[in-house]
Amino acid sequence: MPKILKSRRLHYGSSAVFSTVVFFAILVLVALIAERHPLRADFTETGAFSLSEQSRKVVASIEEPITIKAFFASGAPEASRAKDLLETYRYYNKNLHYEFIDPDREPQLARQYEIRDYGVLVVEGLGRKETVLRADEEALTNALFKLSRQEDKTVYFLTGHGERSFDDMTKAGYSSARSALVKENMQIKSLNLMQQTEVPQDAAVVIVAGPQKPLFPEEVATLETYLLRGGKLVFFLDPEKDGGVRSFLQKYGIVLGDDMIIDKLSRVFGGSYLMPVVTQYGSHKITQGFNVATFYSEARSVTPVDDPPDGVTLVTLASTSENAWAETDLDRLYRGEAIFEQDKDKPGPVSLGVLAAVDTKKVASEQPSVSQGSNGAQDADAEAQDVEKTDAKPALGYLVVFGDSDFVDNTHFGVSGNSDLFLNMVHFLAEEETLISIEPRMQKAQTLMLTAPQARMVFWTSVVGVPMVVVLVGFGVYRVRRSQR
Amino acid sequence: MRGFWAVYRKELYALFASPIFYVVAFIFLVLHGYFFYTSLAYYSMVSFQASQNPFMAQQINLMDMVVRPVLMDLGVVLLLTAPLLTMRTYADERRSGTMELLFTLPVTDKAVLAAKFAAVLTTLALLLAGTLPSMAILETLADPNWKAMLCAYAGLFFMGASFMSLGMFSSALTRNQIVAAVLSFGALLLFWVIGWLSSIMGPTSVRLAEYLSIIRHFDNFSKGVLDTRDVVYYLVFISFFLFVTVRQIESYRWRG
Repeated sequence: MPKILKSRRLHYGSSAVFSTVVFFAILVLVALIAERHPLRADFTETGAFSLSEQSRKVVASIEEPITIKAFFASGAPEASRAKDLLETYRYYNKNLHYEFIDPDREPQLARQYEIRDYGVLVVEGLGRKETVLRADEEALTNALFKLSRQEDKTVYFLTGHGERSFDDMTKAGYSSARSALVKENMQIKSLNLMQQTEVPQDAAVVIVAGPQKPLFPEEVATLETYLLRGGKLVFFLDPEKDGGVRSFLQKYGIVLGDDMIIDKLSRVFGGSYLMPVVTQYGSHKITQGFNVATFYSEARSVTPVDDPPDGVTLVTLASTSENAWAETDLDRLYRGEAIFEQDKDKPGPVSLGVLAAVDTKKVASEQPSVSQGSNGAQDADAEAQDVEKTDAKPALGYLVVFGDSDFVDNTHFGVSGNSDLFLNMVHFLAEEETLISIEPRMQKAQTLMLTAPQARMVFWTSVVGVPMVVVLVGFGVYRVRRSQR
Repeated sequence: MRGFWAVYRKELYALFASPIFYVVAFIFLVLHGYFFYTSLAYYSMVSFQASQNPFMAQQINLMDMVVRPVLMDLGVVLLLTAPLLTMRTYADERRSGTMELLFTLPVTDKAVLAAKFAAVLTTLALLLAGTLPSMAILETLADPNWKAMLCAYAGLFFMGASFMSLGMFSSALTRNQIVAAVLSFGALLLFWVIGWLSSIMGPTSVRLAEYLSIIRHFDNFSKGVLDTRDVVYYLVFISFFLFVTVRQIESYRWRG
């Protein structure tokens, strides 16, 4: 090859390569810029790929990187739906990152994050983490919200009457419950109402777990004041130990039974007669989608009255199967001769967990003396302020009563769904006022039932008609071209 | 852009005079008709079951169960047929020796490329227009979401245009039409399946592989979501292959 030609080829060749590289670099730059500043329009009828106003606000407020680990079996249809959702979130904030993890392929990670089921998301960031059990907008937005909120919710455990202690590592202690709550970003403190005149302002939930001795009337009054300022009270009351709150609970429509629940079904699970199994849960956010059994060792019945007082809404959270009954003759029970007596014992299903939602505005205005009577003028002022505050937004106080305190002690915490029920409960109560609720988007039903003539029309038009037109046109073109030759 | 219209007309004439277009269009539309008919029949059956169950009725949706899968399937058919429509664009010119003629005519390489590309896009638009009668039937039978549907069609057009640009590049590489078709089909298939790597790669390379995946960007369109990132991806894809095609054609001038 002549030298001159060779150098010409080298010249053109290198300039072609160079210009291609430059052009490619420009394209990469364009793509990167486009990736950074996306814009999208959602043409779906329900806006299925956009976030609601509330979610957008929460997502926009995130300024530090947050990683979402999605535990899904690879290739599951739920995984692609979750991916759509996460991609939608990522569109609104680049600080969100997500990765999909197959718990079967990476069991060590699944164990590290305590994943027991597919479809769980773990949201990590800001030094904390939140577990999301359902991959939907409401759950995810709330998890992000909880993560970005800096202060921890405080759960108080009442002390001073022989209650279960969260420091107690023995079988009857609550240390497992405490570590589970701490893991959920909650602070645990003890509360002694014999030294304090009121429940601290930062209390998200106050739990009274199995008092051995009755509470003083002043203490009960303090708790009631707390309840009426929108507080959340939880009582775990074992049989024969009502903690002196029987009449207080009665006032809000919750009746403690002087009995012990006997459950024949429980033996099937290897427990004793005295360990009722709960498989029926009321319809409430706490028990929404809950379908595992919970076990209670030596429980009493707790029932809602039929006609709740004004401003109080009652929900039975947990009840036993039909096979159980509440035995009232305890002496006989201890002799080991318990049988169901039609007219004396309460037949199953026996309810042993009740929630009362108390409309504080309504109830407080009806009984203004309650709080003033015990705690003096200072509380009355606070009460008045609270009532004013609630004028703007109806604040609900919550009262949850379970007829057993050992279902979440160290022995039973890990049993079946016990821990989940407890955590759901505390979660719901602690987060109630801040929880963001997002209506699921309902798309309109779009059914289409073809009649036989319609089906025939679809077939003849799309499978036969249109392709035939193409064949005819092609044939026509062929004829014309032949005649032109 | 001198000579654009002349080349465009000549290209269209060549396309519609050859039997390739009619065979491709026939196969494309028959397959579309089959997909459409079967998914509509299935939808009708599911609707019948759902009519007894209001909760289930809420879940079924014409867009998700008929339009989206049908257009997805059409994407696959396009993947197979697009190389057939582009294989002759440059390879045939070189084989028949008209390439030199083009070089001597007062038209720029860019104008030729633009005209050829516009011609194959016209055939693509005609193919897609052939599927519209079915969608019009859907309109008479039910109440489809036309905005989302047009969005999905736009996605299909963008994806088809990307197929075409790569097809034209491979046609510029060789003088054999079959080789051009196989080359472009192989390359397209690679872009199609590159996203499958995501399950075995690390997080950074996953994002790259997912970005390159040609079908993943169509996914958003088919859902009824118009995202600038996807539009930009297709535009970048098309521009790149058109650019290298021009460079390749130019190289014939100086390579001799």
